[in-house]
Amino acid sequence: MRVTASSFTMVLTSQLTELATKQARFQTQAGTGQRFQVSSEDPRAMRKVLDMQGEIKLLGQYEKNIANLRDTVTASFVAVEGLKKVSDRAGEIATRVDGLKTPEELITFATEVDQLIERTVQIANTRHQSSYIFGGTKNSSPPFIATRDADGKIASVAYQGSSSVSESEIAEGVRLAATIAGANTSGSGPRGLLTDSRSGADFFNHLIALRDNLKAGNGTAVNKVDLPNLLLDEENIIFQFGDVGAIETRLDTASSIANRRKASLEGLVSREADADLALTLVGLSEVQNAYQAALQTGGTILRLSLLDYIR
Amino acid sequence: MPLGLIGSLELAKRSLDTNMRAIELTGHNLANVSNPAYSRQRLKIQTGDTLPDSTGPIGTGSTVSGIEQVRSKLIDTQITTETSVTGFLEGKQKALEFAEVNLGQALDRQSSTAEGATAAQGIGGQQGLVEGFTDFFNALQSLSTSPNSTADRQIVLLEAESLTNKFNALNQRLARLRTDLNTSVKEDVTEVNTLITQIAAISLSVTTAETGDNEGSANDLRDRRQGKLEELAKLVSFQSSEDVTTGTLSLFIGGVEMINADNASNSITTTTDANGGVQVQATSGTALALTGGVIKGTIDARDGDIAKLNSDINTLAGTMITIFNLVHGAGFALDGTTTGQPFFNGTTAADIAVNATIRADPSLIQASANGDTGNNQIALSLASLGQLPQAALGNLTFAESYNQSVANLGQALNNTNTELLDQGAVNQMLLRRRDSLSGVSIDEEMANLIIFQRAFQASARMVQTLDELLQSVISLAR
Repeated sequence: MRVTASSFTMVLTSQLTELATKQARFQTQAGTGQRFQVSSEDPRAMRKVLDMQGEIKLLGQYEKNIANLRDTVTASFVAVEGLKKVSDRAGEIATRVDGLKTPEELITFATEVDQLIERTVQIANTRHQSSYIFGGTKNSSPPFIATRDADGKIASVAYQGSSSVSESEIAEGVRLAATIAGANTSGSGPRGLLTDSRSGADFFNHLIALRDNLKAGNGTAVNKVDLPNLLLDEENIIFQFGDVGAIETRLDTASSIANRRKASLEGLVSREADADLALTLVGLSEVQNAYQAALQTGGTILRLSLLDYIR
Repeated sequence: MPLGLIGSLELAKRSLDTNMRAIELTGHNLANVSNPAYSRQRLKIQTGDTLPDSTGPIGTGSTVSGIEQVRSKLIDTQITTETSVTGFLEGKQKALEFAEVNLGQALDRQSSTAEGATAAQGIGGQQGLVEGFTDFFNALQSLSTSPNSTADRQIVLLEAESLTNKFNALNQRLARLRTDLNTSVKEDVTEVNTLITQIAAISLSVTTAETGDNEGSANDLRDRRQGKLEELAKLVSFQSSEDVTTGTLSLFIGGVEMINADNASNSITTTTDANGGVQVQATSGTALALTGGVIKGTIDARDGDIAKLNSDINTLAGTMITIFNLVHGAGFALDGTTTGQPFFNGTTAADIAVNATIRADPSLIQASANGDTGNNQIALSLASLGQLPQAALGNLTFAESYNQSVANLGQALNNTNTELLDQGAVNQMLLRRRDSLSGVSIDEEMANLIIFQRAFQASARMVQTLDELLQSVISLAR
């Protein structure tokens, strides 16, 4: 093959361009830690990475949802715990009523039950992050409204919340209600915290009846009616306790699953998109050597011609 | 009969002349060593007519019969054809590269986490449309956990605005790209017409110069014409032929004759199609069936992959507006009564926008299914739309549909890059082959120069010797 003056430059230019491009790409890979930046460099991997990044962000959002719900559940737990104490004390008072107690002692009990009712109203209207947690879906105003008699004592408590509660997504297609409705007399849906037609719980009315019977000195009614009723309330509160605990466990499990899936997806994204630094640097070194060799040999060849030997 | 002193002097003079012309031609070759369109030339030297003599024929030296150009028409034609293919791929590559840049969907792993995104704020990061989708639907997820939260409602609006702005910006960038590509086609068409005129003019000069027995006298003009033909091939594919008897050139672009017997008989012009795309046709009105060149590459990319990208983005925006508004419209705002309001206005990526009324008052986001402030069923339904495959999008989710568009464009560019790489190898091979045949070798020319120089010096010595002999002959007479 006949080699002309421009043959060398043509080949050398083409080789140098190719090597310079490779150097630039290796440098970018080393600098960013990524095998590719744009879709055209690896469309298949880009598609997979974008999809997986979306999934990772969604899982991150589920973790935020879980954290929010966990805060609400913690607030619910504290409130239910307070109600349990009230229920325990009310049951204790009802149990202690017997034929030996004087009317004065019963009135003292009635006064204590009054305070328990006040405390229950306060707990039932617990607010968390601008929402009343036992209001169901009507959570922007206090769900339990007390009506007082001439002495300022609570005569009745009406529920103005909703018997339904909102669910939130904690994983793809998995929804969970983290709040408890204050009352549910519909016979369906989630159990009400203080009033529930299926379990027979009606805590406010039962407390008010207890107080009124104590005040009236009607020990028989306390023993025969109020005590069994309070046991129904106690059972309902214990049920809610268990429910809150179960929700916490579900949240923990969901959080753990989301975390593991995120880690797994990160690994997959890394496998698709990240550059192997060792291979990148070895590749860069090889290309640099080739580039230097091309420059050196090219420079030597281009410098020499017959002119150097003609005197 | 011998030549005699005078005859020999004449022979030496012709020899001087021949070698002088050879030295001049070597200079011409060397001067064009870096001219890619130049084909080396060779002096055709032939032996002078012999004179009969009783002792045998007597030589009369040499004469120059002409200058020949060392070139292969076959290689020239192949290079022209392949240049059109390269031009087509380069035009397509350039357009698709611009589209990819305008799409703005780059991967930045370092900013994929919340911490990384904050670190990359203002200096980079991943800010494509897909991030807009993810952030928007995640904001709706947050809202679903606290539907009466004004802060979460505000975030939903901010993310929605960010998403619609990204749609609008992308649409504008793709529209600008379309305009730029149209302008590029128009500029290329002007360049093509200039080249047609120039090629016709050079061809006429070639024909005129080579009329009669002057074959090869237009070597340099042929070089220039070949250079222009290759420039034209880059822009548009064509077929050309030389008339075997007259030597005139005819040239056809897309099946339409543009040069007829060295005469620029036609040209090309642009028209605008129903979609606002600039198309090319002959000035005579005939449609052109282009098969290669930058113009075709640009038009193909514009009306093919880029148009599909634009259409996909508009379908995506339209579907999002329709589906989202349908769900949102069924909900109730925080006041418990306002309902039926659309969340998005517009129909395409160009005009998608958040409903101005809702934008002014976040409480009007209809997140509740029954008017209860704590009811989040609509917010949940809206959030889950992000994971819901849409029939209008080929059963892909919104984000997946966009990711698919990104990958499709990337694949088109990737294919073009690969084809261009293969084509580059073909071009390089042909150029090397032509260079091997027609290129100037400095070593070769220098070696020839020494021969011609020595021959010239020897001929000069012969003249000197003959002169001395003549002097001697003249001295005899004194």
